[in-house]
Order: sequence, then structure tokens, then C-alpha cells
Amino acid sequence: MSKKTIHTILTEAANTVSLSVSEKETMRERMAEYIAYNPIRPPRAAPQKSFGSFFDTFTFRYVPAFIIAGLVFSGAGVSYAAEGALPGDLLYPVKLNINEEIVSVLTADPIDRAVWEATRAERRLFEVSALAKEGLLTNEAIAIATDSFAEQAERAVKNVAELSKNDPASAAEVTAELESAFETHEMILASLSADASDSDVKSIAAQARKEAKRVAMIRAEVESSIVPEDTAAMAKGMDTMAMSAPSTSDEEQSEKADAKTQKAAAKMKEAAHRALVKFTEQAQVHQGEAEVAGLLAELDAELLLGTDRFTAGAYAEAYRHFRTVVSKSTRGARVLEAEERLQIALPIGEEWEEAGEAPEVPDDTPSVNPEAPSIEGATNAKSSAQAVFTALDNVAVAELSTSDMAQFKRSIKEARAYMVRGDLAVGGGDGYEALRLYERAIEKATAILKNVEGTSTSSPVVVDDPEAVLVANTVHHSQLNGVHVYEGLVRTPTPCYEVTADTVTPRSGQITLVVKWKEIGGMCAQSAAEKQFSASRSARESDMLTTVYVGGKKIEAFKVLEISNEPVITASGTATTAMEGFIAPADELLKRVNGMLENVTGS
Amino acid sequence: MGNQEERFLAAFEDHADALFRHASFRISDRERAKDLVQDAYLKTWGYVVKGNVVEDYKSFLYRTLNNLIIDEYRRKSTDSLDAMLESEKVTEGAFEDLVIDGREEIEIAVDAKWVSTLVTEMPEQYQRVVVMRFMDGLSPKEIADILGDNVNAVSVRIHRGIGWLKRRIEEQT
Repeated sequence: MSKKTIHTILTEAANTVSLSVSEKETMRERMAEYIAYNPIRPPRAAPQKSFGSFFDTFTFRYVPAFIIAGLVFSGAGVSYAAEGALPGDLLYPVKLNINEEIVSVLTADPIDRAVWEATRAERRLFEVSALAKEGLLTNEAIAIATDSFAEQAERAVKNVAELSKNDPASAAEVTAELESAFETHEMILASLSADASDSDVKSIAAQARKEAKRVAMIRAEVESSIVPEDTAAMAKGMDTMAMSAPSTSDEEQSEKADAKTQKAAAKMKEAAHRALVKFTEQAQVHQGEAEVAGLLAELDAELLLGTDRFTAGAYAEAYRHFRTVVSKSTRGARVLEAEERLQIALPIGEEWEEAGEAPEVPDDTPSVNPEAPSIEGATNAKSSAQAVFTALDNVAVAELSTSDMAQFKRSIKEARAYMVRGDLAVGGGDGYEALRLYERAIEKATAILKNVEGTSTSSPVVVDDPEAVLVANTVHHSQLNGVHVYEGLVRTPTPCYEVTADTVTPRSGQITLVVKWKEIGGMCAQSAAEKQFSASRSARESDMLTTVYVGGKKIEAFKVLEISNEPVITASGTATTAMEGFIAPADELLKRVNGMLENVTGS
Repeated sequence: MGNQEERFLAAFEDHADALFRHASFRISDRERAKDLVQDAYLKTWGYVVKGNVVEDYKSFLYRTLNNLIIDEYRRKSTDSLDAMLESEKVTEGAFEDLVIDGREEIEIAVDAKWVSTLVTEMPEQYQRVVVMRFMDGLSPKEIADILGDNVNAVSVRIHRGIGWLKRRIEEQT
């Protein structure tokens, strides 16, 4: 045997493997057959009813392709036709009880099984969207859809829970994706029911949200066993430093935990990579859309960051980065698919991390109750949102061009979808989430209002509540050991008002102040009065007041005056309002500094 | 037959053999490799059917097949995962390691068939790139595009993969 370089040997080895002529011929025939079965439809076509094509990106992941391919290619005509059936169709039971059930029965691997049952639950939600979109939601269909989803979600959750006992790392991966999928479907359904008073769709959306929470709980539990909390890891680090000679068993244990986290992070990395590739493929038709491109870039960076942390041995951190990629990619891919099939506009990448997460408990004050914001606080935000929507209803849009009008309507629909989701959250008793969603609705609706004001020549009717006055638009702030106190004055139309204030943390590092009042009745002098309010909150020292509501209205530019009399400038809302908020107090600051300088030079 | 169908079928004629070879080396199960290649094509067609356009069939198919193979690994035991973890510990981007043009290669006399077996035993992370580079004849740039990685990392992994093979060959000859 002559001597060769390893590269040559490898190339030679490659030549020893190939498809036989007959193998290739068989495959070629299958391809042709498959193409004939699945002809191309025009790009971005109107949604079709075939919602369950086995090979679409939604419904097909690890499920053994050969099982499904077998079904399709076996010439089982009914089975094939049933794939496109929707609740209420004659063939729908065939789809559920034969097609899908066969796959369930033949899928023995617990991971595949969990994924498939999750996929099935998702398919149920897609069917509802398809029906809703096409106006086919009869009472019968909705009853079948509701039952099917409830049953399937139960199976999916059960399978995931089962998997979490034996294979937590895989369970973490499946739950991350499933949670995100359920949440996205909730958003899709809410968006579909936003302009119709479609209580049935809303109730299924609420169900999806409930299931998302259940999955989130399983995920949290799984993660607690495989990924140490940041704080715990830090504490561990400090302990190790403090102790001169850690006992061997401790070291062993921590090594074991590390290995577990490492494995989980590696799994999540694979999942992140896969999810991102899927999303990227999906996004190819959306090239040039800034929102999509932005999210892709963000996720690429997140993946890199995760890989970097992984290489550095910070597995828990890496795990979180990868999980974010999984959640966001899952959502992105589904949103794009839904947009394409249902022809609706959905927000693709904003505020994802915050969704569904509980308000953060400050690290340094563990004894303080994390305090869930009351439903009442959310209701308050809702009334402000409603006020903005009323303003939008009254706005003069007659002069808008047709394209502007379409955009206007689409945006309103999008904003209203947040309202619907807020309502759903209230229904689910989740005050925090409701507040967040209502705030989002306000933000969106306000942005539309501003936009219309810019394009329309006649001035819109803005609902202006003369009672809503924060005196001098100023909130006084003091802070000691992480306890923030906010105080201020509110002008009420008569003295017979009771004023209360509350705070919430809609997202990490940000504080929202909600000032409410109600009339207490009785005999009252008809003259305005100023009432004091005060609210406190335990949070990190660095946390900032970012939003203020007074009497259900968002104060666009407010000042925060530190009790030490140093003005700190805060502004909320868009960049322009931030600027507006900035300019006025900056002048004030300048005056103050000049005054101080004069004093110094004068003395 | 429309243009898309023709392009797709042409992509089948052009790449099916190479994809099959790739899959065979990666999972060392001929029948399963056939299934996966077929799945990769069907999924790709599913993507086209939805109104998407595949610009570059070669890399799209490789990417799809690669994902299917990763799924396949997940289905197997955790062996491959451990192997992957092992290789993940390797810090990437050591530039002095980046000599992969073969000039430093020693010449050896071994049977190509035996090397094929060795390739199927390689740690997944190395195997993927080595198969792509030498069996499939893809350039490091093409591999990087398919894997969504950077060229340096890919080159380093190829180099380490070759190192792994060499050690195995030396041990056993």
C-alpha cells in the first residue's frame, strides 16, 4: 500500500460511499410524487384551509419523518385529506384519532413523545386561528376546538412533567419552546378577536395563557434543579472564598451540579441553534424588514454571548442566553407564519423577556414581600387606555390617504389586541401582567394618536380630563437602603376626594407610580383643592421611576425632585417626550448652578 | 413543470449523492442516512411550497440535513453529547493552530475503508466539519455559512479533527 496524506485518504474514503442507481431512482420517484401532492402556491397567498400540512415548520420537528411520510405515501387518501381538516369538519376526528394518534403510538422516545404532544396542542390552537380568520367558528366548531385543546394541552403538560422527572435538561428545552409557543398563540388569538366581540376566541386565548403558565411553572421547577440562581452562584463563590479549606464532599457536590448545568446549557445551545435556523429560514421572505432583521441580529448576538459564556465555564449564564434565543426564535417563527397565513399584523420581537415573568424581588431586601400589584392598579391603567382609544375614535381621519388609513386601522387593531390580552390577564387574576399589557396598549395607542396628529390637518379631539393634574408635574423622591418613597400633590376639583398612590415594577429596574382618586361625596365647597399622596417601594437603589399615572392618565413629562433638592430628570414615553422632559428641568438646573456660582463668587 | 419544480429536482440530481455520503459518515447507518436525506429534501420542498425562494440549494440542504442529524443525535444516547461537551471545552480561535493546508502532514499507509470507520467514531463536533471539508469538498467558508459559525472556529475544528484522526491512526498502526 502506497503512502498518502490523510487528506487524500479521506477523499478516497468518501468515494467508497454512494447511493446505488436503484436507491436514487426510488428516491427520485418519491420526490416527484411528493411535489405532485404538494404543488407550489403563489408567494404570500391568502391563507388556505390546509392548516395541518405535516411538513410545515410548525408542526414538524423531531417527530419521525418516516412515520408521517409512510402515512402520506401509503396512498391512504382519507388520512391524507384529513390532515387539512378543521374542527367541525367530517374528517377532523380522523386527523385527531388516527393520523396523530398513530404518530403518538409509534413515538416511543420520551423526548420525541413530549415534543409531539406539545406540537399537537399547538396544532389545536392554529386550527382555532384558522377558523376565526375565515369566520367559520360555529358553536359546534368552537365546542369541539375547546375540548380538543383542553384535552391535548393536558396530554402535553403531562408528558413534559413526566420528562422533567427523568431528563430535566431535555424537559427544560421542550418547556422553553412550548411556553413561548403558547404565549405567542395567545397573542395571535387575542389579535384575531380584537375587533370582534368574539368571546369564544378570547376564552381559548385565555386557556392558552393558562397553559403557558403551567408550562412556565414546570420549567421553573426544572431549572431550579439544573441551573443555579445567580444569587446562589454568587453566594457559593463567596463561601468558597471565605472558607480556607472546603470539604471534599462539598467540592464534589458542586462539581456534580456544575456538570448538570453544563449539560443543560449544551442542550439548550443545540435547541437555540436549531430554533434560530428555523426562524432564519422563515425570515428569508421578510428580508429588508427592519423589525425582523433587528431581531435576527439581536438573537445572533445573544447566541454568541451564550457561546462565549459557555466557553468561559459560566454555564448558568450561558443557559439563560440560549434560552432567550429559543423563546424569541420560537415566537418569531410563529409570528411570521401566522402573519403569512392569517394576514394579520403582529409585533414580532418586543418586550419578550418581560412577558410572564414575575416582578423582581430586590436582592438586598429578602424580607420584603415581593408584592404582586393589585388587579385594581391594572384596572386603573385600563381606564387610561380606554381614554386614549376614545380619543382615537374621535380623531378626524377623513383626510387620511387610503394607505395611511389602512396602516391606521392595522395599528389600532394591534393596540387593541393588547387591551384584550390585558382583559385576559385580569380574568386570570394576574395583575402584574395585566398592567404591563394595558400599559403597552396605552403606549401603542398614544403613538398612533401622535402619528395621526402629524398627518391630519384638522386637530383631533383629545379627551382631556380637567381633573387630572399633578401639581407642577413633579414627584418628590427620597431613598434609603433601597426603600424608595414618592410624594407629591394632586389638584382635585373639590376637597371631597380621597387620593391614594401605589407603585409597581413592570420590568426590572423600572418603577411605575399610580396615583388614583375617588370622590367621597358629601357637601363640598366647589373649589379646587390640593391633596398629598405618598407611596413607597422596596427595590434596588438604582431603580428609577419611569412612568407616572395620575387619575388614569399617563403623565408624559414629569420631573422627579430628590428630597436632597437635586433635580433628577426623568421622562417617559418616546424619545421626543424624553427630550421635552429633559429640556425644562435642565434649564432649572442651570439656574440653580448659576445661583450657586454667584453665591460662591459673591462671598 | 414550473421553474421551481425544475430547480428542486435539479438540486436533487446534483446534491443527493453528496448529502447521502455526508449523512452516512455522520450516523453510520445506511438506511437511516437515506431517510434523513429524503427528509431534508421533503422539508426543503415544504419550505418552497409556502412561497419561499431558496437561493442556494446546496447550503440550504446541508443546513436542513445538519439539523436533522443533530436531532438524530438527540435521539441516541448521551454519548455524542458528552463527546460534544468534551470538544466544547476546547477554546477556539488559537491562531497558531491554524495550519490546515496539509504541508505538515505525515504520509501514512492505511486502508481507506478503515479510515471511514474511524470517521464515524469521531466526536460529533469534529466529525461534522471534517466530513464537510474532505468528504463533501466544501470550503471552510461554505461550512461556516451552513453552520452559522465563523471561519476561524470552523478551521480550528477541522484542524483538531484531523489531529484526532492522526492520533487514532498512529495509535493503531
